[in-house]
Amino acid sequence: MFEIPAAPNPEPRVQRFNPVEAASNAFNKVKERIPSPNKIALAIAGGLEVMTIACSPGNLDANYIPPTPIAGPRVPGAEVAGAAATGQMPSVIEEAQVVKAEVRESLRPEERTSLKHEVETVISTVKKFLKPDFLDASKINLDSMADNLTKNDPSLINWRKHRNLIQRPDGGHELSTTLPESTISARIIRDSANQVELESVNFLTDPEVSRVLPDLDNSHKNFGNLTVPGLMEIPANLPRGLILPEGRKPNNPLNYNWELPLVLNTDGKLDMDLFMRTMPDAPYRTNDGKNYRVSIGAADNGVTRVEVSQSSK
Amino acid sequence: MIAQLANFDPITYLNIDQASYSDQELGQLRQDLMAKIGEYVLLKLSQDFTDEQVNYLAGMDGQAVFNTLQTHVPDFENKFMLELDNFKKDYEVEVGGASHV
Repeated sequence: MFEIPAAPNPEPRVQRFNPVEAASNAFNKVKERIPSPNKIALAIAGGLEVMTIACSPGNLDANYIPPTPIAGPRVPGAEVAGAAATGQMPSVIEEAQVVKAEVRESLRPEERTSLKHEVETVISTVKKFLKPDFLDASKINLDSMADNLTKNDPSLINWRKHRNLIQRPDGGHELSTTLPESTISARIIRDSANQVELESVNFLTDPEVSRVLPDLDNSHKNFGNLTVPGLMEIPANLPRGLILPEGRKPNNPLNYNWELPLVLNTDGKLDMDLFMRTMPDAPYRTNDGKNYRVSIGAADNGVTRVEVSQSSK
Repeated sequence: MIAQLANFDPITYLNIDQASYSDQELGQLRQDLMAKIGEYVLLKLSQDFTDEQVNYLAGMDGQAVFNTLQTHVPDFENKFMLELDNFKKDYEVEVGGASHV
């Protein structure tokens, strides 16, 4: 018996080198070594954003002045966050949670003027940059955008140059800009004619800034979903889903802005009193199927108490 | 932000020849590579996390995830840079089997 030697292989075809495919293969090898669906899902969901943030120059602005800490004692939650990071996180709390935070009740006149100015500037910036070209990620120059702002208005030297532009699977984009005291995020959609349309703009601000918003003129009501959160500290293991947490304090993962309903009065301005009265009637369902209730206590010595509790409804 | 990553360009970092790409392709390539690098680094960084910790992070947006890692992972920046370097090594192994055109 003998074997017929196989015909020599044809000349290998030259394949066009695909860096993304090579990068994907590198990632796939790691997936095989770390076969945890949850970790893989976390990596896929957050990889681009984490990498972008790691490379973003915003947080190191030499002129950046950290926001004034919110007055009042911290709730005993930091230990929970620390435990979460060290593997000692307790199991999900089944009992009702009551967490308290304190928000500043009022601002000095000069603080109101300053914050109002910054909020208005951010609004105009969002308007200005909501153009088709801006949605082409390759054309974005975030640094020059921030530099132009500060050049035109020296009072904005505290501007944090952090920006995020995320392309959604449906082709839309989400843009967020951050000031020391506030975050504005915009959901942007682009229709087939390549026209840009603003889906919504959310203001996620400190309570101090929220109290400035009623002074803004009526044109801003057209921005749609204006959300004004209370500042709350919630335990690290409180389930989250539709509550839409927004990381706000860079070094404190316990601080979140929770999106709350917009309440406008007949002039299109934020009705803070009505806002406060409405909040307790709006339970928030999280993705674990549980409801949480937000309530505002009476102001006491200039401090308003915000409570979050698990609701049975 | 990680200071060492200021002006980070994945195309330059991976020594990819830009000549055969249009400006538009380079923009897309840059974004795709950033995504893959981020996925790789984040997965590697999470390998020692418990399920509860992963679930905790999964409820956050990217900024909050980054802040949490930066705050609670010891020697975070060096670990991040180490995994970035590991990615490059793994990437180059993959590239070794492909033909450059």
